[in-house]
Amino acid sequence: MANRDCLLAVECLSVDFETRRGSHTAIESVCLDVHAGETVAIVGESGSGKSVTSLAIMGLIRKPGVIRSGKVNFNGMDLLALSSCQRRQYLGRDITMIFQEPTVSLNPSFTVGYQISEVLKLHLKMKRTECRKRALELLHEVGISDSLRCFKSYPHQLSGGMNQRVMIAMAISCKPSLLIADEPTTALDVTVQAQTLALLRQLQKNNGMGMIFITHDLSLVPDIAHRVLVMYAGQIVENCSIDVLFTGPLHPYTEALLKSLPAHHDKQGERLSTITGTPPRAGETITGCHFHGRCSYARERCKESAPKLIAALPDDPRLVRCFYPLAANSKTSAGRP
Amino acid sequence: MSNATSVEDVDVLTPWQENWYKLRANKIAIAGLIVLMMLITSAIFAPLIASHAPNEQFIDSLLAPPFWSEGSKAGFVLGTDDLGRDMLSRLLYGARYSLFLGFAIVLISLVTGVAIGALAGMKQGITETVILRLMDIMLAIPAILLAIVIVAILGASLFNAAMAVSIVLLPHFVRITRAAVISEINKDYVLASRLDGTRGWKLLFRTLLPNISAPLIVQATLSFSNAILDIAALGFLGLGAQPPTPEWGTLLSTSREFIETAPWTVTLPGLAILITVLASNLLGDGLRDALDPRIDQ
Amino acid sequence: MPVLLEAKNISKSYQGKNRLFGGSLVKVLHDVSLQLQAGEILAIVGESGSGKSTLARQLVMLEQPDSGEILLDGKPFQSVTAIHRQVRMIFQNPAASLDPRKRVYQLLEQPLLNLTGLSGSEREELIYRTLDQVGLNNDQASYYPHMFSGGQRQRIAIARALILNPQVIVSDEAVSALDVSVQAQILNLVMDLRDQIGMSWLFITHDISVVNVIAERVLVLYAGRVMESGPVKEVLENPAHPYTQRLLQSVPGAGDSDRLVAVVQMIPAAEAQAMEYTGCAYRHRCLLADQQCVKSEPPMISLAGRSVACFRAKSML
Repeated sequence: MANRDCLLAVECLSVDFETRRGSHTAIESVCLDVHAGETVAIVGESGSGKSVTSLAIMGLIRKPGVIRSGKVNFNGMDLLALSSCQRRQYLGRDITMIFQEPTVSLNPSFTVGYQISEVLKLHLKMKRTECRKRALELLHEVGISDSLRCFKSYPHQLSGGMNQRVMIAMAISCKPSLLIADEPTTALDVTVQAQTLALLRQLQKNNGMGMIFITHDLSLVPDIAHRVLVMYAGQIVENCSIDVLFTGPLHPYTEALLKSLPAHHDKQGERLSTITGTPPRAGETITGCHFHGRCSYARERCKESAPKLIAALPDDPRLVRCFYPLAANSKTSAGRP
Repeated sequence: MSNATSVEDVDVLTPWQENWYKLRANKIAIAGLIVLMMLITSAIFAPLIASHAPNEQFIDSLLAPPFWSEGSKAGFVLGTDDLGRDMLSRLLYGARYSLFLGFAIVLISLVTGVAIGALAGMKQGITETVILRLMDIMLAIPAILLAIVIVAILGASLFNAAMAVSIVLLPHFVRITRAAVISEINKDYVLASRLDGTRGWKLLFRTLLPNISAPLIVQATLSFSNAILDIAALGFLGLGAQPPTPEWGTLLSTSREFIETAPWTVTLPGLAILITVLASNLLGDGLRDALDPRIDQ
Repeated sequence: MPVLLEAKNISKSYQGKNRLFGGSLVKVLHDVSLQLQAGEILAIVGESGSGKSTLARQLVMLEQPDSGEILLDGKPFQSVTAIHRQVRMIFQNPAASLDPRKRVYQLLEQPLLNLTGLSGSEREELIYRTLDQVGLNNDQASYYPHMFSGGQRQRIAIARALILNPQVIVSDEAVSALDVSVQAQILNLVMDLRDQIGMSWLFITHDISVVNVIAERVLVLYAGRVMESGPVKEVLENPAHPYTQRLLQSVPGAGDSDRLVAVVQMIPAAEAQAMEYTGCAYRHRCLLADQQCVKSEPPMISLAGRSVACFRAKSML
């Protein structure tokens, strides 16, 4: 799937972690494409490898983590082949990242304005007065009305939502072509979360940047993404566009996730459907499909051999890692719109 | 319901076992531990190992050099001092004083320090302020000076010196305990424990102490070396053990006039102090790494 | 249904930290009243800073309210020990609320040792029975909390709350730290316990979609004040308070949230908390606020099956 017009093309990326008990695989042959102007959501439960994927793309994997194989092509360049010095030119300017805890990600000892200015000075070689002007513009752009006051504030004087807006302002300050958002709204209140999502969507549309949106909450995905990758136990199990996700998921895991959302369930007092069992522990070796132990559709074959991520049907852009994809077998729609 | 997957591949490790595995990976700390164990064993079995009684004099072999130098005498492996006493035997018996005093001092400081520190941490307000300011004053006086003052008041003896050093080391334990108690006391598990009806001293011993033991153990190990050093220093100044007690610091001070003519009489006790202090410091550093949850593998 | 737990006009203030000199009092709860009926799940919805955790701490007697009273079975709270037996609490993050140095068995035995006079064999039987009730097996009693997954840890926390056979369980964001599939398991367990043993539950959450699934009645808290309370069906399907409406609109997938992007007012968090309000607490963020809302605080009125504190409530419906 080496796509030439892709902004980011990750090919067969695998990351191992080496511990006292031996090495174990954190993510296994992860492939993903992000086009300019597209938002790709990576959804998975804790431990599914979604954050490791984003760190690997940014080249931030440290010991005991090791990138075993794979390529990260950004604008036709393999980021993993670059030296850390060369890579630094792109990171923070062309590829930027926002994190879950905005209050922790900002340096508590400097004002918000100083921190934004530093980014501008470092990457765009702006002069001081220019920096200040641009920083104020950026704060305005992320919807902070009293930008001058915010400019002079320290992170602890701002609310969580406000700090996340500051983080976003810093992330978009150099007009990046790719923004990686790792659970950016998880620590925020619901009303603030809705605002932040709307802001991200708006900025992405206006700047035409590509975005990777990492989340554990499948219900956020339709609000922001064009395409979704579902991860389970270090593997991508489904890759499909957002319009078809809710009408007919192909992988049993995706279906189970959708069904367990309280928001997609409106009969009061009725039990939610759950996924039995627990995800495999880090380091546990699994033969066959990683999900077979918890899958209600599992058959003999699933225990013996591992399925590949392939197109479910000929001429279908959807990819699924399952021998017996759901909608391909029966036409019954599993999830609810 | 969700217990379908059993945890067979996970062995049930107690938190202490887990720390032991982490410590074991640190070669230097283990070396420190082994040296310390050897020192303790030789101190305990000193009467069996030592060839002579510590105060037995051999008039015919005054200042005999150790075995590697010319003129050494059979039977005196590390030579003799100015009064013809066997150095090895004196050092071995001296280890009993230094190590035992080190332990005793740390134990006294630890127990009182934890009690006072926990009191300050759990009872905030005026109690806390008084305790903390008192500790600040104690920390503001140089340790050895404070010890000298205390010994001067109590009178020069080994017991009083030990008391003085215990008091000198106290503020560190108090401050560490208080800080740890304050940082833990509002955590959810402590609140949950309070809701389970655990109160007062029970809350401290059953819930808090096991969770704040890591910094205390590290401090205790490092204080052990400080205690040995301070006791030796007081002995050297003539304020601790009195001759002919073979305490290492006293050995140093009584033989310092022979540093040029018979250097082994001074260097050997010094070396003993150095090795003990170094070993316990190495172990302390290793423990700090092993017990610190932030440095996790 | 009889009222089991009742709070009447609870207020609570904390000493604010203000640099060097002692700060002013920050009022976190303003005359909050609630009633929990036997065998029901009452949800309390609020965002951070709404005072929901403070409310929980008052209800389980971790702290004493400044004013107001709390009644259990119509009687005021008397001894702390008795209340700790009858009203149990579950915390948000099970990883933080379970003592890492204790085995599951010790964790569950602790309340029995402290608050009951049961013998060793009685304790053992009760511990294994409770573990079974929350879906854990007996072997796991000897494990330490860190050996469990997040969902299993929360089951242990629920077992610890259940083991004293309390009248009320107060859970503070008990499912927020869990993955969705695990969250569903825990929510089912909560509903099972209500249906099987008639456990009354005060369920504090920020997630209104969870409320819809498990609770019978809901109470919406904002800035330490009750905005709206009533049966879930009425309140969530037809909110009478602008804040409730806003919460519902913020649920992901609720549709057109583009207009929410609207420029936010720059109110430093610390200042917003200490700010002296006149009038309605929500008026700063309310799109319907007018002079009346600035002048006086809206009283709690009964309207269409629920209580609501808003001057505009009638026009909202």
